[in-house]
Amino acid sequence: MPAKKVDVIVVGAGASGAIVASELAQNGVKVVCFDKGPRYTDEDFRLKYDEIRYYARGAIVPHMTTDPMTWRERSKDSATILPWVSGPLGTANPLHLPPSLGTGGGSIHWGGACWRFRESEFRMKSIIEERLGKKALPEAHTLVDWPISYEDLEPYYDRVEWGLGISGRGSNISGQSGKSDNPWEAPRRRDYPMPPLRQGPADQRFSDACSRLGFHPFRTATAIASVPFKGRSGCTYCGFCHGYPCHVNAKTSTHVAALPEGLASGNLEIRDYSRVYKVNLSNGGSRALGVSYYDSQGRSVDIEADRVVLACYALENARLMLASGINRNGQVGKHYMTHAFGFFMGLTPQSSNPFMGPLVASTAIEDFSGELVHDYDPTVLWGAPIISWPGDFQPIEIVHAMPANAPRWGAGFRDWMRDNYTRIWAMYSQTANIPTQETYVDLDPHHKDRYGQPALRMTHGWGEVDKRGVEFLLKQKRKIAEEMNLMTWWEETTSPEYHLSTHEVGTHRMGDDPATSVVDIFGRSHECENLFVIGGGQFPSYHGYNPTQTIQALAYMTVDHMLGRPFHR
Amino acid sequence: MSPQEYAISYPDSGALTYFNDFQARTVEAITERIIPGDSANAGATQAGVVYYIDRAISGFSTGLQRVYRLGLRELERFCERERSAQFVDLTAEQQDEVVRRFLGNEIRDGQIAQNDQESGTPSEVDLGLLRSLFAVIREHTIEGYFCDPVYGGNRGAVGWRLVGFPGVQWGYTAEQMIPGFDATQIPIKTLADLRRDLNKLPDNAHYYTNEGH
Repeated sequence: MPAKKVDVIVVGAGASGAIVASELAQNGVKVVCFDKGPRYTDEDFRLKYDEIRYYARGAIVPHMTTDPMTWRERSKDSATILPWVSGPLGTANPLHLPPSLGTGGGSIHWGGACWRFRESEFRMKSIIEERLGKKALPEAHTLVDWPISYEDLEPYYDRVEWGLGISGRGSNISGQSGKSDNPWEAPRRRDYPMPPLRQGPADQRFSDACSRLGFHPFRTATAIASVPFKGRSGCTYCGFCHGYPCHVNAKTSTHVAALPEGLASGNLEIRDYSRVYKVNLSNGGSRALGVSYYDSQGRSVDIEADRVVLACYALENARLMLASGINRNGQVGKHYMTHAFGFFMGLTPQSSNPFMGPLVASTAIEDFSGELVHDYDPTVLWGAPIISWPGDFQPIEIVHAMPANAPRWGAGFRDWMRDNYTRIWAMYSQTANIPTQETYVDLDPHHKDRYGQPALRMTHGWGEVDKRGVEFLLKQKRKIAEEMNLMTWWEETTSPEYHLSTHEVGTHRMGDDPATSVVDIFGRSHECENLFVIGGGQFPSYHGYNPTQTIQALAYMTVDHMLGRPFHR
Repeated sequence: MSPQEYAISYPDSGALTYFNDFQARTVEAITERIIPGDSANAGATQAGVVYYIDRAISGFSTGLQRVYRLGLRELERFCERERSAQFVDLTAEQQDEVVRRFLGNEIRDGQIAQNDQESGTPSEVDLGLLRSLFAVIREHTIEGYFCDPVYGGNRGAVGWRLVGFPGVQWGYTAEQMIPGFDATQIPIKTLADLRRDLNKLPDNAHYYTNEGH
């Protein structure tokens, strides 16, 4: 089928792709944006309160039958279809699969946790070596510093907050002194555009306990409108949030927060149910000519463009580059990083009603974040915030999270749920693995999808330093749990069975040196001059924070660069 | 309004879309061992869990028809050899022993995958298939007990009522989110209730304002 050439192709209408597609279109660029999932309307989600549909059956996430992916712990092992998502029914836990498909992508299902990385995160490798010595990092590590600083990214963080809509309370606002909840917040030019969400029922108990212990609790920022924002409603605290679309558009999902302005410009076309399977290259491979995709009827179609943007998640971005033969320096897919959560759940003495409000209607502490942890335990390379999770727990999810010593069936099982469900509360942290030569993704030589395209193979295990970081934070959580007077609690292991949680990054590292990185600081491929590959895959190192706000800040940097706007480091 | 008036009780249809009558009675008996009922607590039978499962495997999970058909056939062979009776005719205690055999003890003790060469077990019975069957039924029972009633289970929202989950709520107010609030005061709603009420709901401001505490 002959196709008219367009200015820009954007592959993926999710957290970052929708921003790039919409901003370019608003500035007169003709954009075609592809997504392999559906184009959603507001009406689709009005009655989204359905744990079977969205959780048990994973209605909006990819499945191993359509988007297979394999995993092995080490290079010498053989890989199998992701073992942690199968379950007895063959359906999956949607929290440990790649993010949702369709317009909005991962920003439809996300819990909405929003974080700026602190200044030190951008120099993690140097700081570890300066403070703990060069031998502190594992021998096979591939950690590097970021090629940009927090100051470089600050204006773009601000644009995410005010452009898309983030709720929170800043602690370190330029020109303001006075009340400061979080002494370690990085400086910001202004406050958030909306106040924090109301706290979930048991969140105050966490916050009070942290204060009594001498920690510094502060309200977490959220990609959920706490009050009406740009025509979207404030949050109604319905409690069907992570893994669920929002019924009132309070959640900052890009299909409502970014795409509408682009579509209104008349320059943006969205092709849904369209699966891009290859970037087509010029002779020699230094330019992208366009892409090939399977349309909604399953027909292969070629389309040409002046520039191509891959924005389909750290994993699919890497898979698509490898499947297209873009990997001259061997760096694509390397340096895979993800989070171990150290999930910690317990029972509060009074009812916590954990079905009310979003999980991010919460409080966190940064006392053990990043390099701050060295003051407590210098054998831990890098710390992370501890975050309360007070709401958004439906009954089936709680059955799956019950402690190992609780009855699994029979009257005891029934009574456990009867007596404990309304007293559940949780906290978590996010320990990123140190990237090594043994954490990477590549094409699986054996598994293919239904179109004959190679599946992605992940190689990843939790290292000793990673486990130590999780264990240190579990120790702090136990102290907090005691101070909170929790009746009982239970914990996730330091080396969880999952190796994927929609928080994957690092697979197309950005850097200034074309020999050791895949893209530059704007996401532009070193190898293929008119190809941009954006998202968490750009991250050179990874931290104790949810990645999305940083992914979106980087997307705004890409937009400015593509529009020829100046950038000064 | 009382909770009973809100949670729509779907017609207690006994119609089946996949199982035959005998299979349905067997599956229902197994689900009742996984979530048993008594005079104070609704069990899987009262919740209509078997109707959830029946619809799940005739519609969404057709790939599981095989484990049910073959597994239930194997279960009868097993019960016939071990007890000279059908599963449905065993006492609750005997049924629990069978469930324990394939699902493991109620409290996990690391002995779930039992030795297939255990004494007295007929070697021609496919024990792996039976373990799969019981793992599938346990998971399906949880789903059928806590699903929205539109799926055929959780009839009368008995599963939600048991654990204190108000179901499908457009939102919660600041007052309801005060720690210790007795959420059983909130009438349980289902997807059917909410759809019916869509155009009569209070304005969203009802939920995001009222920061009284």
